Amino acid sequence: MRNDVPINYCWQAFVLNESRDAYYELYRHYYAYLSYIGLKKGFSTEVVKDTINDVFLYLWEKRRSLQHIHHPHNYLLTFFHRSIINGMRPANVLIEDINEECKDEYEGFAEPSFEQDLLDKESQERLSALVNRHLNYLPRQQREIMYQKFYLGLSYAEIASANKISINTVYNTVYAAMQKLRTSIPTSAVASLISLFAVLHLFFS
Amino acid sequence: MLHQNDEELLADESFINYCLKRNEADMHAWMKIVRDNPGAAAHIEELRTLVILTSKGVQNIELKSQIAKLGRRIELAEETVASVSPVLGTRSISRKLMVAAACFLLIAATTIYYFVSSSNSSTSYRSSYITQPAEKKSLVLSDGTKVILNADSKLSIAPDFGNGERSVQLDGEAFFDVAHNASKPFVVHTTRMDIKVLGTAFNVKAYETDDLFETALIRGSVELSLKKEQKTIMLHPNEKYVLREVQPQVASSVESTTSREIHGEGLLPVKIDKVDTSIVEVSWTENKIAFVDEPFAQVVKKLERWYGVPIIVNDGVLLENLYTGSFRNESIEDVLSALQFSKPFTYKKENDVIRISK
Repeated sequence: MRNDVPINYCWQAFVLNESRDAYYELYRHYYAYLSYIGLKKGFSTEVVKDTINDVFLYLWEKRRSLQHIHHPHNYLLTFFHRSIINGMRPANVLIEDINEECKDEYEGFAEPSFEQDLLDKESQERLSALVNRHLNYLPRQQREIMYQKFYLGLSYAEIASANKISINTVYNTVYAAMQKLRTSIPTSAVASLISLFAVLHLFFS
Repeated sequence: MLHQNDEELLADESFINYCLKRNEADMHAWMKIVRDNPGAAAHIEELRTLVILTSKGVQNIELKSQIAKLGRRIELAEETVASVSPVLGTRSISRKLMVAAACFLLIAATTIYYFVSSSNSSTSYRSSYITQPAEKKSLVLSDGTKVILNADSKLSIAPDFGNGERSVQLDGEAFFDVAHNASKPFVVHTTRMDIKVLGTAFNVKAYETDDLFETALIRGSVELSLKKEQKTIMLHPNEKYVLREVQPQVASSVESTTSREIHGEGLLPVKIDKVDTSIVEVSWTENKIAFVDEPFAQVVKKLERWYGVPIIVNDGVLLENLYTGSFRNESIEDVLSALQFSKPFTYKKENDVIRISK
């Protein structure tokens, strides 16, 4: 997780100023983490995605009555947890009742981090555009599988059960998608962009 | 040295964990491999870069699509609130009035909420229908509207469906035969255009991940609202509207820019299958897969959804070829063999994946 200071700041901007930007920033911050928790607990992709949006829709609607929350992080986790466990609309989860002291079970979850100097900014943008274009082409379920594998870092077995398909199908999907990517973007194109410096750091790290 | 080829590595659980720095043991194992194989280090670093770019890419796409859905639900919720808000319009009212107004609002909001939740006892709040690749579903909505949902699609029914507007949200392709009700317009929301109708039959193709969005009208009339372009368009029977996403051009793009010139955009006639004079846009509802002068890139995308099999095209040149043909109840091998006759290519099937090359 990113550190908590900007998140508390976003929360304040959201509940006090009703800032939409701060609200979406919170969403961007928590989306991966909540997905990870929900899927780790064995809920399906569909239920996890819907619950996250249900919870955030409810937060937006109730933004004026959230000023008493002092630990937004704990509050959000408990709220999400309770909604998904009980299969409830968030509206039916009693908001005053939420224990803000809840324990963060997956404190170990870290979003993938990248070296900033991996590529120069311009090459990175060019390559990203190519990769994104290719990924955009994938049908929805394949895209979800790729997200679960390459961003959340779930195992093949976990992804198979979240999507109610076989491990083989998940593997074949990832394999085919990466092969397509690999043929449309030969690694030689990547190679010419990686600075020698970036490669050297491998030997000294 | 490494015993895996590039694709195997890119799909390898432990290698991905190393790239994403998600597992101590995998990270150490791969750092050791890199140190022990200095000759392979640069190549591994290239593959690692590809994984990292993929990771960023999937996160961007996932967030973009989920935020669009959330935004749409907020909009819908606020439209409902707006219909009771005139009470707040009067300024400088006394405190007592304010309290009274607040009470009224609360009651109004509770009533609306109650109304919405009770009217949905049969269709739950989270009511949505989903099809997997290679799957179709026929549905009848609570107002009598008939829907056929094509493969790999999702149709969500608004919680307040039928109270006023009949709203649904579509990601994918569906055919609608809308039950006539002039007082309750039927609206299909998609990420890039909304389609508003009174009573009519039409086909919408709006896969969030596709460049092309299209609506084809079979009978009646519909009004399209294009979101980004902020304009509305009336469609008449046997017309369709095609909206193309303008992708940022990438100088070094290896992938071909396909069909932009060939495939039109804007208001067009629907395509007619010359063999049986049926309309190509809705042939899928009769279990027929049909193409008329369709670029191979689109043909491949249709086949992937239809048969649920990933297809890899190894040669970008092939993607621009145009194909015409229609098939019913035939295997993907039969379809490919038939297409080979018109413009040649080779294909082979291995491990549930089809590879096509020159």
